[in-house]
Amino acid sequence: MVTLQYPLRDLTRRRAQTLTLLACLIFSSASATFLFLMGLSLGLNIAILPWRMSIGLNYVFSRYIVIALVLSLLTGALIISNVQITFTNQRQRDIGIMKAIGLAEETGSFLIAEAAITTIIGCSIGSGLGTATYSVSIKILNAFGYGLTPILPFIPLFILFIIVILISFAFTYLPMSRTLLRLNAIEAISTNLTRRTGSEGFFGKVRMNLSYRIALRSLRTRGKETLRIIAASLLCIMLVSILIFGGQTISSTTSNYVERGIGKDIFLIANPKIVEKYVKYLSFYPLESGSPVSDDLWQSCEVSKGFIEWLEAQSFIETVDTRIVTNAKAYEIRYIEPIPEGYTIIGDNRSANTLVIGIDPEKVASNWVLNGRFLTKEDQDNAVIGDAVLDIIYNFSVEKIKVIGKTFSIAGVCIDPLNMGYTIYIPYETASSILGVSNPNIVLIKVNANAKGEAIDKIGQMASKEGLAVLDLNPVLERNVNLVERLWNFILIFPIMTLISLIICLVSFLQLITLSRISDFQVMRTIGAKWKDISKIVSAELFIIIISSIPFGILIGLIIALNFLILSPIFPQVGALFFSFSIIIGFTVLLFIGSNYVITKTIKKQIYHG
Amino acid sequence: MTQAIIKTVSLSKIYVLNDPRVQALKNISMEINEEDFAVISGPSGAGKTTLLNILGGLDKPSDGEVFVHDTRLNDLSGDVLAAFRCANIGYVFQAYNLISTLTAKENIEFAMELAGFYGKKNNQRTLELLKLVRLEDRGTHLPSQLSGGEQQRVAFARALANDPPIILADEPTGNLDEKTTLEIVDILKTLKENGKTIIVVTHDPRISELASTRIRMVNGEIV
Repeated sequence: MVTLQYPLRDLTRRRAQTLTLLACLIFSSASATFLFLMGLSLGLNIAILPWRMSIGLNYVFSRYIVIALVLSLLTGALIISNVQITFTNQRQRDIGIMKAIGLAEETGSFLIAEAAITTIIGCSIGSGLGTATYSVSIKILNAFGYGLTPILPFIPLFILFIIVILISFAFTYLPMSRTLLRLNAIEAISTNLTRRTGSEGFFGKVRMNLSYRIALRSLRTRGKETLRIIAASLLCIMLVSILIFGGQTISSTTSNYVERGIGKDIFLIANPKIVEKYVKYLSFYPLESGSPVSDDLWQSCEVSKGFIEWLEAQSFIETVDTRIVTNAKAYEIRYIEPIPEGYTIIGDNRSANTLVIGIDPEKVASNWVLNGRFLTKEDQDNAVIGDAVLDIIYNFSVEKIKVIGKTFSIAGVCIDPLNMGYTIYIPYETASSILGVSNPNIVLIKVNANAKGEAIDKIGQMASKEGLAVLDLNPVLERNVNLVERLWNFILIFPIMTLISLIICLVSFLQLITLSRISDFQVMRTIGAKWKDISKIVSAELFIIIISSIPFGILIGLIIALNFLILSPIFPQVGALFFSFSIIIGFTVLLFIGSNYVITKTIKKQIYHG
Repeated sequence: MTQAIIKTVSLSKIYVLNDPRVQALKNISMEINEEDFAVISGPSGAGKTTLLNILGGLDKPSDGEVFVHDTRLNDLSGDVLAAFRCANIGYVFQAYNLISTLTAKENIEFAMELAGFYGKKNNQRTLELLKLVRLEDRGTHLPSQLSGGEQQRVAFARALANDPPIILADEPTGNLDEKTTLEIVDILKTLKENGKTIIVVTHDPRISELASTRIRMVNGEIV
C-alpha cells in the first residue's frame, strides 16, 4: 500500500498538469452545480414569478435545462477524460520505471490515490464555486426585477455532489488505469515508446502552405490524439448549437403553442363581465384580486341564438366557435386493472379546480398542440384536458375524470394557455345537457384578416344592441408570446456558465496537447524557425481542429435541437436561424482566437524561457 | 591566408539556478578559421556544450563577445538569431532532435522552407542529401521508425539542407554503436573535404583524428 505522500508529491511536482486537470474538474462541477440550482430555482419559482405558465410550457423549459445539464456534464467528463489520457501518455515512462523497480501491485493504489485527491479537491472547490456563482446570479437577476428566491437544498445538492464526484473520479481514474496498469515495464522504459506509422496519404501529394502541411502532417501522425481533440471541440460546438438552435426552436415552438391555443385574428364576444374575466384566464399575468366568476354569472349571460345566426351569416367571419364555460372541480377516478395475480389500482382520488368548456368539435377557433386526439361530433362521454390537469391524472389513457357529476374518458391532452392549462373540454351538447343551458355564454369568432376593420365596426354595433362586448384577442396573444420569448431569454442565461466552463476546459486541453510537443518547437527554433513560423504552425493546427469540428458539431446539434427537445417543433424563421448561425460562428471564432492566444503565449514563454 | 570565421572574446557564462551559482565558462577567447575542423573535448561538466550553444547562437553569454562572420551575436534578437542560424549554421545534436511528427524527408525540407526555398529544387536537393547520408530509401519514415544511427544521419542531412558554411555537432556519435559511428565519421570526412567549417564536441578518437584544431576544456576554461 502506498502512503499518500507519494501521490501528493507527484501531483505537486507535475504542477502544470495537475492545475490543468483541477481547472477542468473545478469548472465542470461548478457549471453542473450552477445549472442544477438554477433549474431547481426556476422550477420552484415559476409559479411565483411575475407571470403564470401552464405545466406543459414549464415542462418544455425545464426539459431544456435538464438536457443542457446532462450534455454539459457529459461534455465536461469527456474533456476531463481526454486531458487524463494525454497526461497518462506523458507518464508511461515514469510508471514503467515504478513497475521496473518492483512497484507492481502498489501502482493501482497509487493511481487511485492520485485520482481521488484531484477529484475531491476539484469537485469540492467546483461545487463551492457553482453555489457562489448561483447566489451572485440570483442577486443580479433580482436586481433586474426577476423576483427569484434563492434556494440551497442540502440533500439534493449533496446527492449531486456525490454524483459529480463519482462521474469525475471514473473519468479521471479509468483512462489512467486502462493504460498504465496494463503497461509492460520493458515497453515503457524502451526508447521506442513513441509514435506509430503515418503514411503521407492524399495530403502528401497536395501542395499547400508550409504551416498547413506541417500542421496536417502533425495531426495525422498523432491520429488518436487528434481525434480526441476534434471530438472534444465537436462536443463543445454541438452543445452550443443545441443551446442556441434549441433555444430558438423552443422559443418559436412555445410561441406557436400559445398562438395555436388562443388563435390568431380571433374576437371574443360575451357579456362585458365575462369578457373581462375570460381575458384574465387567458393572460399569463396574475389575476387581479377579487371573487372568482360565479356560476350565476356564467349562466346568466347567454348569447342569443339570433345573434349567433347573424354571425354565421357574415361572409367576413370564417369560424363561429360557441362555448359554454363554467368553473367546476374535476376529480380523478381510480382505474382498477386486472392482472394475472388479481388486480392493480392506477391513480388516486385527486381533484383540481378547472374551467370546463363545452365546445362544438366542428367549429373550433383554436388549434391546440395535442397528445392524443381532439373531440369529434360522435363524442359524448369523452373530454380533452388541458396540460395542467395531468397533475391529477396518473395515466390519462386508462383513467377517467369526473366533472359536474358526469364521468368522462380522456381523448387527449392539449397544451392550453387558458387558465394555466387547468381546462377540460367536453362536447357542447353534453355541457348543455348537464348544465341545463341551451345557449353559449362565450363566442369566439375568427375573422378574415383582410376585412378586419369592417368586421370590428359591424360586429361591435350588432353586439352592443345585444348588450355584449367584443374584444380583439390579438393584443392578448401578442403579450403572451412576448412573455414566452422573454422567459426563453431568461433561461438562456443559465447554460452560458456551462459554455464558459467548457471553453476553459477545451482551451486547457488544447494547450496541454500543444505543450506536449514543446521539444519539437524548440528543435524548429534551433534549426532556424522564427517565432512567426512556429506560431503559424500552432495556429494552423488549431484552425484545422476547429474547422473539422464545425460542420458535424452544428449538424448534430441541429438534429438534436429539432428532434429531441420539444414536441411538434417549429423551425425558426430564416432571420432567427441566421442569427443563431452568427452566434455559433462567433463562438467558434472566439474559441479559435482565445485558444490561439493562450496557447501561442504559453509556447512562446516555454521556448524563450523554458 | 585563412580568415577567422568564429571569434570569442573573454566569454563567460554563469547559470543562476540555485545558490551557489554555476560558472560554466570562464574567460574564453578563441578563434576558429574558415574550413577548420575543430574538436572540443574535455570531461563531463567542462562547459563544452555551453560553448557550442553560444557559438551557435542558441544561448547568450553572461559576459564577453561572440562573433560569427564578423556579426556580433550578443546583440541579435531571438528571431534574427534564428534567421542567422538558418542561413549560416547547421546543428547536429547527440539526441538527434528530429521533429517527431515529420518524416525524414520532411525534416530536411522543413529546414529549407524556413530559409525560404520552395518547389521542385527542394525535392531534388533533399534526395541528394538523403543519398549523401545513404538513406535514400527511408525518406518517408518517421523518426520513430528509424534507428539511432539513421536518425543521426538524417540530422546531418538536415544540418546541410541550406548549405551552411558552419556545422556544429554536439557529441554526434555519443549514442551510436561502432558501425554507425564509422558512418558518421565518413560523413564528417566528406563535409571536411567540401570545405565546411566544422566544430565537434566529442570524445571519439576517430573524429579527433580529423581535427585541424583541438580545444581541450576543463572547468569552463580552455587548457
